[in-house]
Amino acid sequence: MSFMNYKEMLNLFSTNVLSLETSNESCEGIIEKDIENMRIYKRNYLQLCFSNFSNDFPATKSYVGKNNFLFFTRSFLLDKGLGSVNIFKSSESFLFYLKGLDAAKEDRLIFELALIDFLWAYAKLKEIKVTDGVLEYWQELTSKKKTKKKIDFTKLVKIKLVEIDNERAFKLCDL
Amino acid sequence: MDKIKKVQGLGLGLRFPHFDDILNTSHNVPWFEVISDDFLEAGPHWDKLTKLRADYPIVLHSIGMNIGGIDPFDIDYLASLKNIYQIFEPEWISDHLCWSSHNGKYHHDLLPIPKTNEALKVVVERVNFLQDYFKRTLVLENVTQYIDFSISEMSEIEFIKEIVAQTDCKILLDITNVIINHNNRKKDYMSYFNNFPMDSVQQFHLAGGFVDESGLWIDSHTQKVQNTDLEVLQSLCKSGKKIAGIIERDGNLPSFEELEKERVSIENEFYEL
Repeated sequence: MSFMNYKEMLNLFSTNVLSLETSNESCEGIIEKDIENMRIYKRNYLQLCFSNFSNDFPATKSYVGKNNFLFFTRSFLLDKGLGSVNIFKSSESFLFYLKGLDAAKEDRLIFELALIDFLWAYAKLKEIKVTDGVLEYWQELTSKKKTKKKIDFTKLVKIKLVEIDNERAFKLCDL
Repeated sequence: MDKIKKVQGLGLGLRFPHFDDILNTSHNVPWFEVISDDFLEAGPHWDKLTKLRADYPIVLHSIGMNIGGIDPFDIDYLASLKNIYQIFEPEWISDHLCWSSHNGKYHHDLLPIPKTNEALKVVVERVNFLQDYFKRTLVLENVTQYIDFSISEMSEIEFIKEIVAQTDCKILLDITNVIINHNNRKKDYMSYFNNFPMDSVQQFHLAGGFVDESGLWIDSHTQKVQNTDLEVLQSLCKSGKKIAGIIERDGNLPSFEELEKERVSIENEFYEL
């Protein structure tokens, strides 16, 4: 009979990985020489989400930079974690997590770019409102083609995703 | 749907960047393993899979059943799987002998099960439930394990044999995972293969990993298949077993043409139909 039951073992293992901490204090039940290898599971957890969010939010990542984006991903995992078996649903949670961050409150382009990224990746939102010029900036960040349009922080525009000749495209709409 | 062609020989794991080339170019891949979790919801990718399925046999391989977990099953997830099984008619379905979520938190990783009698009971009950739910035999894959548990009461092979005996499930033998597990423990992997219940093996996986900064082999699916893995495959083929398998490649993805060259070369040299 095992001293530790299966549920306790899973509790400890899961808590250890989700903490993303480098220390391995709660590793009872794992043989001592292997405890260091718990880092592999922590790295997998962070890397999988970073990679997934990088694919879904390319303009946001490009705008804030790789290190800040990794920091946001890590913060999201520690604060919220992944609440669905469908990894793609986590991107929606991440989008609204970004909205609440102090950095996004100070710089509204972070959330607006993330909103456009999300609309492009999932087509789940009917239409969105963003600052005039942000869509063109998003296109610059994702296609690397320079835009001459300036961002006008005094004006909002509405955009939606449409299909033209079987290709997705953004359409600017009247407010 | 094609009812004539059967899964046999050396196939490939379907990856999205290769989808158009697979559908639009001439090649000899005999079958594909498709990740179920990529197709849970309808979308344009379903149309592509329908086209693929019209020409090739497939199996559906999932990553989220949480077979070794103790959380209640995610019924929506299972219903989505059941739905795509009915639509795409895979020849068989598979998932991993691992746990991947706990207390409502999802790791999205293949986490190791301590080989205890209690864990065995959990896995057997859950496999039996799933087989009843899907009305199909489940094929379970052995995973890479970077740690060992002091509380384990039996070997992995004993654990697998018991699961098979008590559920009649089949096994997806990941050759690379076995070799990585043994290399990381500096143990002889051939004795594992020699003692493995080969009669239960439905499929095999081959992949390529790398050695990290600490000297640990990592199951990354980012490299070509190693010669050691091919030698094991050769010995399995020589024993007369004609087991279908695939090459898995995820990161550092080569072009489809390049991956197909690797597949053909392995098929020609090591794997005879």
